[in-house]
Amino acid sequence: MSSIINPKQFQIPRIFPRPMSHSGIWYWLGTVDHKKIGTMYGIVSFFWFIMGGIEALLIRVQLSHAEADIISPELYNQLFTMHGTTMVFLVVMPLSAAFFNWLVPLQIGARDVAFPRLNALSLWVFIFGSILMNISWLTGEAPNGGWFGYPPNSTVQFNPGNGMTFWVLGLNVLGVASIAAGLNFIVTIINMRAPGMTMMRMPVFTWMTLITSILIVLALPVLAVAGIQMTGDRVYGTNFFNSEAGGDPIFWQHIFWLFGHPEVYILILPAMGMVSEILPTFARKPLFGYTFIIFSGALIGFMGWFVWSHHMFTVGLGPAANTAFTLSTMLIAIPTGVKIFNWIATLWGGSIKLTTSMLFSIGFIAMFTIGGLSGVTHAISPSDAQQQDTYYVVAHFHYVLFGGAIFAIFGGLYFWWPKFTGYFLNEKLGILNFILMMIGFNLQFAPMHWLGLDGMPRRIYTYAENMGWELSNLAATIGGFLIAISVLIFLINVVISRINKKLASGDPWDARTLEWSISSPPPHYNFVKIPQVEHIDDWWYKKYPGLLEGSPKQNKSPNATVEDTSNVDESKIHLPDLSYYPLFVGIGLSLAALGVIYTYALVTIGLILVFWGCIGWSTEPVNEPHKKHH
Amino acid sequence: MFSNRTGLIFNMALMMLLSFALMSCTPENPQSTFDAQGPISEIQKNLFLFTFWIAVIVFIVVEGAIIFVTFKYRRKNDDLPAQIHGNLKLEITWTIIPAIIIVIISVPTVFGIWETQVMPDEEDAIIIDAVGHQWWFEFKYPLEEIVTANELHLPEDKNVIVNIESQDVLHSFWIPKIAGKVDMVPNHENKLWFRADNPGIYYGQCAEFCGIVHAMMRFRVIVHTEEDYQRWIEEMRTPPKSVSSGSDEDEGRKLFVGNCSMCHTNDSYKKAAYHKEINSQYNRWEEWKKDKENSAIVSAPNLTHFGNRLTLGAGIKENNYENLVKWIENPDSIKIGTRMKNHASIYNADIKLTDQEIQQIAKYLLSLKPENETTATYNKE
Repeated sequence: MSSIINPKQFQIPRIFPRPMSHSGIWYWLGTVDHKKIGTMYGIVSFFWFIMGGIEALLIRVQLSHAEADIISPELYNQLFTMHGTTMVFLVVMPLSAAFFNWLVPLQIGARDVAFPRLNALSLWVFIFGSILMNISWLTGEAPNGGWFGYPPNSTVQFNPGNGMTFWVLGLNVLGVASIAAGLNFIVTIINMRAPGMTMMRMPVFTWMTLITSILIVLALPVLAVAGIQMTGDRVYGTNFFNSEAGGDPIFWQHIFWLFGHPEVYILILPAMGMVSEILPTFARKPLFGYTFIIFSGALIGFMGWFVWSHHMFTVGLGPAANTAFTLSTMLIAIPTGVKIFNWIATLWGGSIKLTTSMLFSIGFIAMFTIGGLSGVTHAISPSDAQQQDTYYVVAHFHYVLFGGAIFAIFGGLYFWWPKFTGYFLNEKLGILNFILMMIGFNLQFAPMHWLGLDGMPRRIYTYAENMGWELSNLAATIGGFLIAISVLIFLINVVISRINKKLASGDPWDARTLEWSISSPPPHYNFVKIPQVEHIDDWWYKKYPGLLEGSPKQNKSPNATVEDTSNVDESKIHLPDLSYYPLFVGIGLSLAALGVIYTYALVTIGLILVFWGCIGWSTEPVNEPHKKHH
Repeated sequence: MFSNRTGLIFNMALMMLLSFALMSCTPENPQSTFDAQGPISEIQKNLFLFTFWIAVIVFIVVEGAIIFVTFKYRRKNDDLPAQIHGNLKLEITWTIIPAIIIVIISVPTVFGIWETQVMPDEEDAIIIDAVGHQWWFEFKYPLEEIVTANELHLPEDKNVIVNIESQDVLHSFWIPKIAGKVDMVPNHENKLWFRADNPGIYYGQCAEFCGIVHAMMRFRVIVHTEEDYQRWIEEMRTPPKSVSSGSDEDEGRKLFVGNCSMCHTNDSYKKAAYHKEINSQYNRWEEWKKDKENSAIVSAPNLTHFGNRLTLGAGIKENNYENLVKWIENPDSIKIGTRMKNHASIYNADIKLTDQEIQQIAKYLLSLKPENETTATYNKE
């Protein structure tokens, strides 16, 4: 059958001219370059990191002493709800996405991701989704039902304001961004590897990105289902979770945690990938047990699907279910332990240079181990009945997600900053940043183990004086402010390093993977010549070919030099032109979601934007025919 | 230069562990899980400590190894170290070691699950129905036909089976010194059993986020000797001391009947009052569900023998005249967001109580004590 309209000829009328310039604000709004998109992911999610941090500080101020009256209970509930939601969905996930974007094409020797405009769509949907969720602060009705949103407390029957509607719609919109990004990276990693880069020659960070992306593509739709059901309950009078009409609140818990536990690994696997790149670089040794690290990562991702009910040990599922989920949860300790031992073995016998990124990475292993061990104590479901919903849990997952994910991300920032920008972050400030963060982090979260065992429940805005919780809480609050100072030092570092640029070469750390074989920052086409890959850590062995013959010859090969971009004919390099359509679709989605709360007029406008954007996008040629290629 | 700093960091980690060990010696705190006062919390504590000490060994080995390699293998020159890619034997070893540890931990754990969760014989157990409400606890004794709120009275050394449910949102029933928590879920009947070894007053607290004043949903468990417990049962079936007509208490009684009694029952000592209260509580709930904004009636704690209660506001303040007056004047001054403040006509309609009337109600409520009250030892905290 022949179609009436040939999409190659058909184009909808353009309201805005296609952006062609490679500078200025319009370039950033229309860019499809994975590096620019990564940068924007990083900046926006770091902004939310600061907002989430301020929320945490307010919580800590209120809890600094007993019977404090600084923050109202309603505001307190909003703060902890948005702190959790922000840190999970607007910070750790998109910060990881910033690294996926920047590094995956560079590590596999590609010019961009598989679907550059879809990538831009993920970014814009994330940005506007995050704004949508936080607009609720301005209306005074921020979400207040916890980041877990348990009904019936989150149902319209018990929580009639708009807060939780903002929350659930925000999650739905953000889910679109994550799923699109997940698909994009799966396709990119499977299809766009440079010749010779077999799966088992891929850098570990790319491997972890692949596993994370598979988890995202499988887990986020589960959240989407729950989110749509909750939207139905809150806006359209359905009764999925409304216990008054026979709906079941436990049903929500099962779906939420069926998403929520894989989500934990979505948050931590990228961090593990980063550490697996940094440790070998500064130990000047290959990663110990590459295959074991990869397979234990995959196993963690797989087993993450069989443990969700360990978030529900006190819900009353009965001894058989609790036994099954206790045992499956304990099993995850095995691949996790394997990773930790392999990282230590990587350092063993190495030639270790303690740069800031190395300190953060070693700090990651040390802190993540504590989080892992307290996780095992949580798996013991009978004793978990004492710890569930106490500060012990808060301590546990902050050791995993802050001592784990955030430490690794900071390590990653210091490590790849020269690649991203072409100059180093200041190492002295960096080490100060690390030390303060390490002290502050432990001062804040170590006492929480004790608070939990001493019977302090989570999510309480106040406590009585005679409970014996004051000293630990005060310590935690002081620790929180130390963390804030350390983050401030990081920001100062960013500014100072930008002013006093200490330029970095393409390979400033004598590193191992392909991104270090090109100049810093990389040209927009990444590689002058797509590399031919022969080994794991290909760039390392190009530099030290003697190692391959097992010879003790350890001199750098003079032939391995960072790619020279001075005489490149860019017209021979095919890259897609810019496009505004992902931006329009991103705005449209969030407008439509906002309209669900306020008025169908907005839904209509939003959906028109989405459809117009999608049609415009699908009929837009990759490159403008009459313009010069970039 | 760096070594001192990393040393500092890892010393801190060790200090953390040490301080943790030291701090856990404060079982005197009211909700410490280290002061187990019954077999359930004892099993839970022992399982935790068993796992904890294994974790401590792993912690020392792993963190020790991290510190060791960080100091030992610092870069001394530009030579490349030996390039070792892996070692199958080592990999297998450290896959098997955690597996063995897990098997060791899992055996007592699985026993613990069945020990704590399989209900004992109902024959010689005390049966309690605990119902969570936003933001207070209702306790019913279906066999004894007694109903009370926010204070659970139990005998020592006797198995207790608690049927746990919720009327509105999720709550969690938790007495840290006696038993780990079980969630209170609408339309689900959960069960918890425990035994309290020693008489005393124990703290309980809601542990599942349940709305604006989740932090102020607490309760007390008063464990009596068998003899005292029987006496308490008797007292709960005895009418309160009568108040002389014309006294403040009597005026307070009239005001209570006029303004408070549609939500707060205070005469459940009567015969057949138990089922009546269940019905009333159900009707209040249905009434409130119909119009959550404006309903003049809400589910409310039973106030029978309120004068004997230790606390008011669900375990929030000591139950004395001063606090009670404050509470009736404006519940928000003690606990924000109560249904009473939001629905009772004395706060929301033109009927405002005068200071004197409030004082009279307080005096009346505090006079609600069984007429032949014996000096109960539990009343002195």
